[in-house]
Amino acid sequence: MNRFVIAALVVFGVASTSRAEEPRDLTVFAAASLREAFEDLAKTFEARSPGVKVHLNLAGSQELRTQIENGARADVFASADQKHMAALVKAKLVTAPRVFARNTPVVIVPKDNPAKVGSFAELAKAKKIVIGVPEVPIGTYTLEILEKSGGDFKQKVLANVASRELNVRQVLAKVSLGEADAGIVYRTDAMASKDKVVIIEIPAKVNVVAEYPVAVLSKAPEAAAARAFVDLLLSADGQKRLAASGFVAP
Amino acid sequence: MLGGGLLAFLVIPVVALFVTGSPTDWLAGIRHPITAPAMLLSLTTTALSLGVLVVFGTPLAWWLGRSEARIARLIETAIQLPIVVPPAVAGLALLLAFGRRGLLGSLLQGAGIDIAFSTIAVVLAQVFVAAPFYIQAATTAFAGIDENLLVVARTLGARPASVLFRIALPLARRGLIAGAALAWARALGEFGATLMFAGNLQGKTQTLPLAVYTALESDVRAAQALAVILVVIALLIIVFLRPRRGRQRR
Amino acid sequence: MTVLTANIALRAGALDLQVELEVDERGLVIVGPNGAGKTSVLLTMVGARRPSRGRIAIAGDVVFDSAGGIDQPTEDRGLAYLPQSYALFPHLTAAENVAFGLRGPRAERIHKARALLGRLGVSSVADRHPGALSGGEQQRVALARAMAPAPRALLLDEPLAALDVESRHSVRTFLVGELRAQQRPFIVILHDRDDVRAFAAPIAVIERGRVVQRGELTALETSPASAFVARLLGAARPDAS
Repeated sequence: MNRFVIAALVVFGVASTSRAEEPRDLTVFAAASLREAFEDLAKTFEARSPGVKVHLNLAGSQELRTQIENGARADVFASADQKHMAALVKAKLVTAPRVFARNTPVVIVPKDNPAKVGSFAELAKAKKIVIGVPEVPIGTYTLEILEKSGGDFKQKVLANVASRELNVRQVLAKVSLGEADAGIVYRTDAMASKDKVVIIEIPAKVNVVAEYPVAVLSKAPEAAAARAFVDLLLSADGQKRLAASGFVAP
Repeated sequence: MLGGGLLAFLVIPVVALFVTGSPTDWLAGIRHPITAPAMLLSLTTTALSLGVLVVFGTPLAWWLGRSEARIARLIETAIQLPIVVPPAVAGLALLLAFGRRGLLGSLLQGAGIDIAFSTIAVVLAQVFVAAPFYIQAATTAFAGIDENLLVVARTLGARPASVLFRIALPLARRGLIAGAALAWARALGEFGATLMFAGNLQGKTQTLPLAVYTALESDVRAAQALAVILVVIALLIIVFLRPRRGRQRR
Repeated sequence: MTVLTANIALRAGALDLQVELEVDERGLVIVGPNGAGKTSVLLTMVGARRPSRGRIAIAGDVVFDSAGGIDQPTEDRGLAYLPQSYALFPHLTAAENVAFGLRGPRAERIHKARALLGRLGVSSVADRHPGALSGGEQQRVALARAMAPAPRALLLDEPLAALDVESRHSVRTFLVGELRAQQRPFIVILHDRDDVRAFAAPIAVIERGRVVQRGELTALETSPASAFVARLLGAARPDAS
C-alpha cells in the first residue's frame, strides 16, 4: 500500500515541479530502526536545502527492498543489513552503496530485572527469553552470538526461549512490558526505550556488528538532492545525530 | 456491472495465490519443516477455542436471545467490540489483563499459572477475537425461536435446562453451526492478537498464520504454499458448514 | 365448585391488566377485543409472565401469591397450555410431540402417545412432522400433547381461529365433546359467536385489561354491558346489515 502512497506523492511532485520555484520532493526509504535519527536529519536537510521536502518511508529492510524491486519510486535507500542492499546492487537498481552506521546487538532486561541477570554470561538465568526469528537479521545475529559463546551456552539459552518474534520491535515490546525476562535487540532499539529496559553489554569478542549501507537509486528522480542527503549522513553532523540514537560510526 | 467489479477484486487475489505457484512449490511448502507443527497447532488450538466458545457462549447467547432486560441489549452490543478492535490492540489488551504484570497477572502467578507465551495464550487470543461471531449468530438463532414453543415445553413438565437441550438447541441448530463455522474460520486466521499475546514459537504458539508471516521473511514460495493450505482449509469450512439456503422447517 | 382462581395485576408495555377470574367444573370462556390482554392472562397463569401482584390457585393449591412469596415454576403448576398457533415442536414427529410431556422409557412414551393420537382419530399422522399436517390434524395433535401428562386444567387460546371454515365445525364439535368427556377444568379464549355457544360455559368479557362483564351466555345476550358484547353476542347487532 505504501507503494501507492509514494507513487501518488511522486506523481504529485512531478506535477508540481513543472513550475520552476515549486518545492521538490526527496523520497527516502529507510529501515525502521532509523526512525528517530532520520526524522531529525530530514528536518536538518530541509532547513539546509530550501525548496526540498523529504518524505520518509520507514519499514523493514526486506519490505522496502521488495517495494523497490516492484518499481516503487524512491531516491535514497538506507538498509539495516548488507544482504538486501547487495540484492538491489545486483539488480542494478542502486549504485555505489556506502556504510554510514553500525549497530550492535545488546541484551535487554526489564527495569526491575526479575530474573536477576547481571551479565551476558548469566543470560540463561532468564526463564523467558525472547529473540528474533532466524529469518530476520536480529535473529540471525543472535544465533551467531550464541554460537560464538561456545560450550553449552547456546543450548541453555535456546532452552529458555519463549518466543521468536518477527521483528526487533516486538522483542523490545515483550521485554518492555515485563512479559519476558530478557531479549536481544539492537542497541538503538534499547536506547529508544531506555526508561523501561536496562542494557547488558555483549562482550565484543562474541558480538557481531550490523552494517547499515545507504545508496542512491539508479532511477532517482532527484539524484542531486539524494546525493546531498547521503553526504549529510556521512558528515560530522549526521554522525553526531546517529550516535545519539546509539549507532556507531563506520 | 459494479457488483461484478467488486467480485473480481475479491476473487483475483485468491486466484493469484493459487495460479502464481506450481504444485511442486506447494509440495515443497507442505514438506517445509515449519508447516506440520504449525498445522497441528492450528487445528488443536482452534478446536479447543471452538469448544470453549460453544460450552460458554451457548448459555450466554441463550440468555441474550431470550432476555428482554436492557442490560442484555447492552451486553449484546459490547460483545461486538472485538470485531472492530484491531487484533494487535486485542493482543495488547489481553497482555495487559492476563500478562505477568497485567491486571490479573499477580493473581494468576500466585496460582502458578503463567499464560503469556503459552499455548493457552493462543487459545485465549482466538476465543477473544472469534467469540462475537459465535455469540451473535447463536443469539440471533435463539431470539428467533417462537416463545410459545418454550412456554408449552415448560407446561409439559420440562425444566429450563431440558427446554434448552430438547427444544432450543435443535431449533437453533443451523444458526449455531453457521456461527461456529464463522468463529472457527476467524480463530484459524487469527494473527495479530496471537503474535502480541502468545509470541511465535514453533510447536507451541506458532500457528499457521504466524508460520506464513515467518516464512515470508525467508522464502516467499513456502509462505505462499502455507497460505494456499490455509485458504483451502477455510474454503472447506465455508463449503461444509455454511447455512443451507432454502425453506426453514417450521 | 370453584376449581381455579386467578387474581392478577400485570403491567407489560401498553397493557395494564387487572383481572379476577373464577373457573368452576364447567370451564370458562373468555372473549374480548384484540389487545385486551386475554392471552396475557393465560401466559400469567402458566407462569410465563410474572404479575406485579396477585394470587393464582388451582384446586386449593396456591401456585402464585405475591403476598406469600410463592411463585411455582411453570413445569410444577400442572397447567396445559395450547397457543393459537398450536406451537407443535417442528423438529419432532406428531408422536414425539405428544410423548414430550410423558415420563418413562422412550418406547413406552411413544406407545402411549400413539394410543392417545388414535383416540383422537389421528393415529395415521403419528410419524409425520407438524409441517406436513393439516390445520385440523395439528390441532388434534396439540390437544393430545396438552392432555397427555393429565394436567389439572387446560388453557386454550383461540383453538379454532387457525382453521378454515370446513374443518372448523367438525373440530369444534370434537373439541367440545373431548373437553366434556375429560371433565377437566378449562379456560378457552374465543372470538366467534357460534364457538361461544357451542362451548356453553360461563363467560368473562375482558376489555382493556379489565373484566367488564361475567355471567351465563343468556344473561350476556339479553343485557350486554358493552358495545363489544352487544356486537358479539347481543340479539341486536348494530354492524349486521
